[in-house]
Amino acid sequence: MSGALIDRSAAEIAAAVRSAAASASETAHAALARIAERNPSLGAFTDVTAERALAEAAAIDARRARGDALGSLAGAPFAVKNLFDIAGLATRAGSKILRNAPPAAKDATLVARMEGADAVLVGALNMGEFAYDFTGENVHDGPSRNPHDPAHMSGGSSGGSATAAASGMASITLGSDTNGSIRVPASLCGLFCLKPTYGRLSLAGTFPFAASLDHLGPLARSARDLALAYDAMIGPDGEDAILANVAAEPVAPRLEKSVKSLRMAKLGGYFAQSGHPAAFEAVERIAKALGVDNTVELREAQRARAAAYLVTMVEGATLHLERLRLQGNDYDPEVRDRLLAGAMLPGAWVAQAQKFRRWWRGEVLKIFEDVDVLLAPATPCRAPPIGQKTLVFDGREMMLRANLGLFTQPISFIGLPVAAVPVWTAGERLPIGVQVIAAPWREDIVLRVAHVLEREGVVSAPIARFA
Amino acid sequence: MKDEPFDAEAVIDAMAPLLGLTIDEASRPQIKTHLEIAARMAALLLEHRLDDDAQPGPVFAS
Repeated sequence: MSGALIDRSAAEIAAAVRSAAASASETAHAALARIAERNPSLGAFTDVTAERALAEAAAIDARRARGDALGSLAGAPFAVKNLFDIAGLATRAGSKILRNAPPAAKDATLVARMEGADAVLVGALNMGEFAYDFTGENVHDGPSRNPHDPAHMSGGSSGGSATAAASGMASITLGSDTNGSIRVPASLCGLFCLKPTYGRLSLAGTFPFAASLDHLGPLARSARDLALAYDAMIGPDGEDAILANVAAEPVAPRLEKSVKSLRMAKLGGYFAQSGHPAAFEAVERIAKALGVDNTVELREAQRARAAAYLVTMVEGATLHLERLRLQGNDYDPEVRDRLLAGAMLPGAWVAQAQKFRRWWRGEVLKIFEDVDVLLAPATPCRAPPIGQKTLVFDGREMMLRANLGLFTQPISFIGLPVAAVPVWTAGERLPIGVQVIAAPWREDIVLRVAHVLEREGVVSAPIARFA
Repeated sequence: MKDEPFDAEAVIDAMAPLLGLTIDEASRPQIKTHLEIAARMAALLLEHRLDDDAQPGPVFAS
């Protein structure tokens, strides 16, 4: 069977497992066989939790045999960026430095919640070192490759998360997004993803990057799978000091609700320049499909991006300062040198950045009085070749590693929820993503829009052909 | 800052000992580049006037 079944969505796998049309155990075996086949050439996984997956799957099958109700993700294989704690494994966060750290004593909250919905953990995923990356390259573990063209970047820093989902090695993966690290790889690898509102999902049991900007979220090949994963992961958690005290309602039951009454607009200005034509054409395609022809501008987006950049540099450097002193040579030099520079920045810059952040959020919230959904490119280009160091936009050469997140960074800076949707163009091997953005706490809106676009055939996330 | 060119080398020389960081000569050009990018970002940001009572906003509860 399951060669075919594991190519289906998590929702379909779960339906098959719940109805006894398939077993969780055979699905887990099929997923592990798929990983054994594809991972050596794609570099998505750094740990495969085969024993745990098979035990978990057997337990699910035993519960079904007893007549117990199974969870919404029953038997669906999932995997997590290796900055999530997995009991018994060192949480390496893409680094050499942490790979010999003591193993995690327990799972990250979101891992436990995915398993609480009966998803089956199959492993930990490659990532850019300490999440300071948009490429998916890793000097210690090798790059996670783009399954649609392995000579090209997966995007990062949740690179392995995108590679695994786009190649069919897992139905759902989890990543982290500080400035775009879920949305950039989803865009480059042609996936749906959800970066929820800042403070929506628990960060407990994950290795941070820039704490005041860090988010976690899912990547998948359908909007419904994002909704199911989101629904499984929401809820209060006393172990996370940042988690907001805002009620979260499940989204999957509301996914089919019409989007016709939603007021939508494209983002102009900053979000309509400094990119390749493909990025803006993708936004136009989505806008046309949704009947959107008006444009609004987020004034001061460039300053917002600058502020996010500085906050990231300083918070990242602060997190790593002691390690930079003692183990500087064990870092990827490209990461280390950015962190070292961040350690040297004046406090006044980052204090101004945080004050600007609050002010700008207020300005953007005013726009949401008149609009429910904003559309913007997810990345300024399709996946560049692995190893490429610079990009040219508007005649200006820019550092690639920092600028793939040009369009994602201002949005996460003020914590807005975003679903990115994958757009394909005939004749192109590689996709590009569009951000669907809503007001804080309206994950339901971005997922409904992503779902209707998928249902209407405007966007899709096919598994890459494996050569 | 607008009037004085940003001297990244001087920043490295002043800050590295203060922070207890050893900087390899091979890393200096990259660190310098990152500092210069940050300085451009900061210049843009600091041009923006904020009221004295503007509050920082790292956490959004509603």
